[in-house]
Amino acid sequence: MAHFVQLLTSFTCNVATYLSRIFGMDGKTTRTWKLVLSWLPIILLAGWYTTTAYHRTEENPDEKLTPTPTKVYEAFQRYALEPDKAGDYRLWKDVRASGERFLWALPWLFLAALVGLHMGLYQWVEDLSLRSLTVVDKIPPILLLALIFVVLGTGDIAKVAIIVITVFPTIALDTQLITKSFPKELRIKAKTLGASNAEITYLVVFKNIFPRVLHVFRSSLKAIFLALLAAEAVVSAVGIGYRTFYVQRFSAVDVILVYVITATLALVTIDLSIRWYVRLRYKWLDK
Amino acid sequence: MSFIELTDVHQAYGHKRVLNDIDLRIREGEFTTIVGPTGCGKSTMLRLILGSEQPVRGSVTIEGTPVTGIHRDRGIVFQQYGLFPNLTVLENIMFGPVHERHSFVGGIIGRAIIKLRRGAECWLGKRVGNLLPKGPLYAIEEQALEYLNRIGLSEADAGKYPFELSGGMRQRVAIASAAIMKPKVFLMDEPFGALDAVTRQKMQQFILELHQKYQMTIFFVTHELREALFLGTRVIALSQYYKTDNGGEPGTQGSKIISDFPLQRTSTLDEKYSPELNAIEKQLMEDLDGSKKKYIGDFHLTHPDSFRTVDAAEWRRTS
Repeated sequence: MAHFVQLLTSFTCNVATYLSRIFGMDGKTTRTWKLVLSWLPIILLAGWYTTTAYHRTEENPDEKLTPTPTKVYEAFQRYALEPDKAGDYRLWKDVRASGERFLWALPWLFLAALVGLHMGLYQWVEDLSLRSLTVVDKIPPILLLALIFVVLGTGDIAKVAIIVITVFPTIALDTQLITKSFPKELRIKAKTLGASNAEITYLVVFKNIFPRVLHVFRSSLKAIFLALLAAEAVVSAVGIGYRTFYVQRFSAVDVILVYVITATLALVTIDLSIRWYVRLRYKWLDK
Repeated sequence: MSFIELTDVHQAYGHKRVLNDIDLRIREGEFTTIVGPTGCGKSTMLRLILGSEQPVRGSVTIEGTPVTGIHRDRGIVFQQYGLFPNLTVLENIMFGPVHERHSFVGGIIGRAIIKLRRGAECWLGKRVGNLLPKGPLYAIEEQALEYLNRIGLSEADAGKYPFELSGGMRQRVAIASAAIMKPKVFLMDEPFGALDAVTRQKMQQFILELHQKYQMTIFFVTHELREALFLGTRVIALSQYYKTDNGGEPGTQGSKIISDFPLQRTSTLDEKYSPELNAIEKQLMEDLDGSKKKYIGDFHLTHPDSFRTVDAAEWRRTS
């Protein structure tokens, strides 16, 4: 008996040590635990939703609020794989429309990075723009929506404009900070090596901070799409935001889910591809 | 005769005075090392010669021309951030000549051609690489490779990025990238401060060899006394701890040159611990001891080039 108690104690002690090594502060998880823990919330959520959906559909076959995965897939088929009366594949048409508006905004965001670069290097550009950008950065863009629709009409230009107004100041200000953190020593060194101002600005500083600017862009993706989809939801005839809010009138949660998943996947893809690009192309970064 | 000349130089940042009436003449080919306590303005003095800063009073000239800004004639090696992290070793060494001799666009195109050719050489062999165009930067590339050899790196290191090099190698490349411009003056701000003891010693020998071979004028800031003595042909101590008849307080009065010694040219490591250097070290230690403030009349300015003009209020010769 005593032997058994001792065994039990030592077993408990070992388990406690093992657990604290993983779950204690500064603990390190093993690869298996990492896999389990990272998938756990996703699996739980999916499982919980699916069971609820099936239960509710069983009780009421016309249930709309919690469509089962099958129903969502059917909606996907209707919107992505079959043409509607006009002969359009609606999901892809919407993705394309939103994507185009997003692409049109990109040159302006690059310009924002350039503005930030100059703000960080030239005092007068900073004097000229810092105050106004800081103020504009704080305007809630949704409120501007009305104004922009009045001024620029309700077409694509207005939607691109709302994206630009939302994130231009953020990107410019963040780029300025990154530029300022670029070591002054390297700028001085470039000057002693006979580089001109333009060469230092674009070939030394901008080339070095560009991957960091890409990270800034990555983190503003959500704001970009928030602005774009909100604008589409208010006034549009095509686009992810438009369709989602259109079908919401018929409580078509299945279609909404299709669009939510599509948009999420698109954003994740953009985000990850930028991350991979930076990792491959700029292997000297942060070393 | 004098190459670098500082006359009555005062420097202050706002109300904080840093340099107080510095007079200094340095002849061509001199390896001047400069030591002093933290915050004495060693780096400030270096920046004044570099031209990234202007003195509030006094003048800095090089070969009689006043220093008004950063110039390609003065090369710099910092302790950190000596290399452009986004450029390879070869590109780092080529940076100066390329930007001096080629336009913005020409430089970009030339670099792209080199990258292409070197990439092809790496993947497809030298013979394929030789078929590709040499590009407008070929002469500079050859020159950079020569410098690469000179600092003891091989052509295999040419394509590496700075983060792939050890600290010592990085500083060698930094020195090469400054040296390829053949500047009139080399300024070094604690270039070996971040290196471990053995690497540091190797780098010291390396810089000595360079100096002996090419007789560059070097202005070398360090906080390590032994390094200053071993490397220099002249050692200068700068300190804010001294007494004048004005009764200034350290920190408000600004630094002065309190010692200035000629040094025997050393070449072997044995001389690093020779009795002569030991004696000078002892003297410098005493001079730099902040608790025993040296009187302005008792500074050890024994170097033949040493001179100073003094403020009558600071030194009323009572005796």
